[in-house]
Amino acid sequence: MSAAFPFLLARRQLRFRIGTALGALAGVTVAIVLMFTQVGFRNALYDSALQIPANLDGDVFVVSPYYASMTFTPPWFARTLLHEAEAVPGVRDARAMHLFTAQVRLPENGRHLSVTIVAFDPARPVLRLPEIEAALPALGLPRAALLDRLSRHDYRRVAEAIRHEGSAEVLLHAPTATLAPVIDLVGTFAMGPSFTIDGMIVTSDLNLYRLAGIPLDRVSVGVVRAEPGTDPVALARMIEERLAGRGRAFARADFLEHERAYYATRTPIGVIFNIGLGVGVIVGMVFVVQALHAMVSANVGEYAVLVALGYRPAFFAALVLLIAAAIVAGTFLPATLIALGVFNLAADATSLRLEMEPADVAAVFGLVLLMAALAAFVAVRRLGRVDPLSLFE
Amino acid sequence: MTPPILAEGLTHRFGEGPHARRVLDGLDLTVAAGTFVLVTGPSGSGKTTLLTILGGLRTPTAGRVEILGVPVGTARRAEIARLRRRIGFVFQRHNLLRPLTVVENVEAGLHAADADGNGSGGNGGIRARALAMLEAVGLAAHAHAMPDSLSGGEQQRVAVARALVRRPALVIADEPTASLDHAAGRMVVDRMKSLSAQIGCSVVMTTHDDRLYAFADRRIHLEDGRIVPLSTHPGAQT
Repeated sequence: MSAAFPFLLARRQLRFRIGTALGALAGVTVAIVLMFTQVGFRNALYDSALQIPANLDGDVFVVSPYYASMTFTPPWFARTLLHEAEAVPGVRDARAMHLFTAQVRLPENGRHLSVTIVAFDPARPVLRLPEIEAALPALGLPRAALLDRLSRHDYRRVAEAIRHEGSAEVLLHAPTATLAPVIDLVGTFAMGPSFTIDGMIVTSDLNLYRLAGIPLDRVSVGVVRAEPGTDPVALARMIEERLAGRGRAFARADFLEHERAYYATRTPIGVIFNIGLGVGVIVGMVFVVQALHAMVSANVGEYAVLVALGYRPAFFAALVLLIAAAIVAGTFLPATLIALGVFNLAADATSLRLEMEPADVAAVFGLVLLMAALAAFVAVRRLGRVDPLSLFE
Repeated sequence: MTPPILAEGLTHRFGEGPHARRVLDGLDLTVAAGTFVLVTGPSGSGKTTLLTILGGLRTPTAGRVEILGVPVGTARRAEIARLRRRIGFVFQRHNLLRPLTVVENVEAGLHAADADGNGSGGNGGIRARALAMLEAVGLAAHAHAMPDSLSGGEQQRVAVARALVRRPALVIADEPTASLDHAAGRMVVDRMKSLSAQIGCSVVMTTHDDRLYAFADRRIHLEDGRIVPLSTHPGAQT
């Protein structure tokens, strides 16, 4: 069998049925853009969820036995557990971090914005961001806090005000306070908002107590630094044994994976993005199947003659695969460029980090190949039913 | 030398048990090499079923049938596929591939044959053979036209060229003139007869058109799945 013949026939089929081919190209392009956006949004979700844990200056993290995620105010555990953890061989120190999710009100327009407040003892910082480390002395002042300047919405204007005037005020809605306490924002740092919370403020543990009335002996996350050369996984296991069910301990990599997995499997958001990715594959497959089906159906008699002439199933498989491959080849690059445009628009609108990594491109390309292969498989099965006996009338 | 077609007691039934319908009933048939055979008979007499068996497209339910030396009742699928690549087919509808040019359609007949190393002589050889075959059927001027631009008779001649370009040992033609006017039909059968004679292949063709009987070296008349002696069939003259 001449290897060039399937190429010739595939090329001519696509040109001959240009309307069908263009319809498939447009549909598959949309499906690939859909896949890219799902992957991009999903990654942005994970990235945003990992912003705080990834910037924590620790090797092992201690949390409540009921801890699920860092996103909202997590369940607390007693500070005394950190003292116990510090007694475990290999622990250099164990520092307390407090997380509190609330709303702030902007005095100038009365708008409400969600906020995550990260608090710690400025003498025992838990975040390793140079801008925060440089501003630690200021955090010791009453009501003083730092604002993440990459936060969403009106926070951007507040950050601008801090840049121009040196400070700005927002009001905290705290269930424990009769009047909304004032937060003095005396500086900024750059981290980026999460999917669910608009902005982040960093302050001292004492200020959190002053502002929200949260007792200092209630800790959200214990940030444990290990002695050099200590295996963090083994250390986490030893700490957990020491805490005997009163707290859990994760090595750094496990903690990040735990946070990621919370979104991937335990919240609907991650599941929805994964389903969206699957829908993209199915939509693309439907378009490719439709195009292949149209081309196969229009030529059933002709293909039956080829079967009668002795053409083998491999010929038809090659023909269908080539048509599917041509559709993929004609759509992937334009779809990638469109998806980049969508990412830019979405990043501007949400302040989320939406980037197309080479691994994402490779993953989507793999899914597109899978989609094309499945579509080709369906079409080949259809061709398998082509029977030269149908030509005898 | 084994004849291209050898059938003894060829029987074919559709269905099973009491509802089985016997379409061919113990045919004994031998077709010598280079013979142009017409199969005639009323609708439902078994012509098409006979052709599908002779083309290696259907297995008989009983009897011994050898096509080009291959026992079709017992041969494996791969052997049948190889056998079919030595047979040319012409159908009532031309079934040309509309996206391909006329000459490319004729070449399609060679690409499959090439799989068995039939020596098509590479792409240049394939094109030369296809063009020569188009010349032989009187369509060289239309070699690079699209099939849709040809008349029905011309399209059927392209189908004949596609069947014969591979120099088959046997051609199976099922009512190839049924959808053509008489003049176009005569032209198609005339070209098929002369080319098959040049190649030395046998042709088995069904037809309802008694005006084509003159082309036949031999005519087989079927009624109710049996070969009826022509002397007993009114109007049979071949």
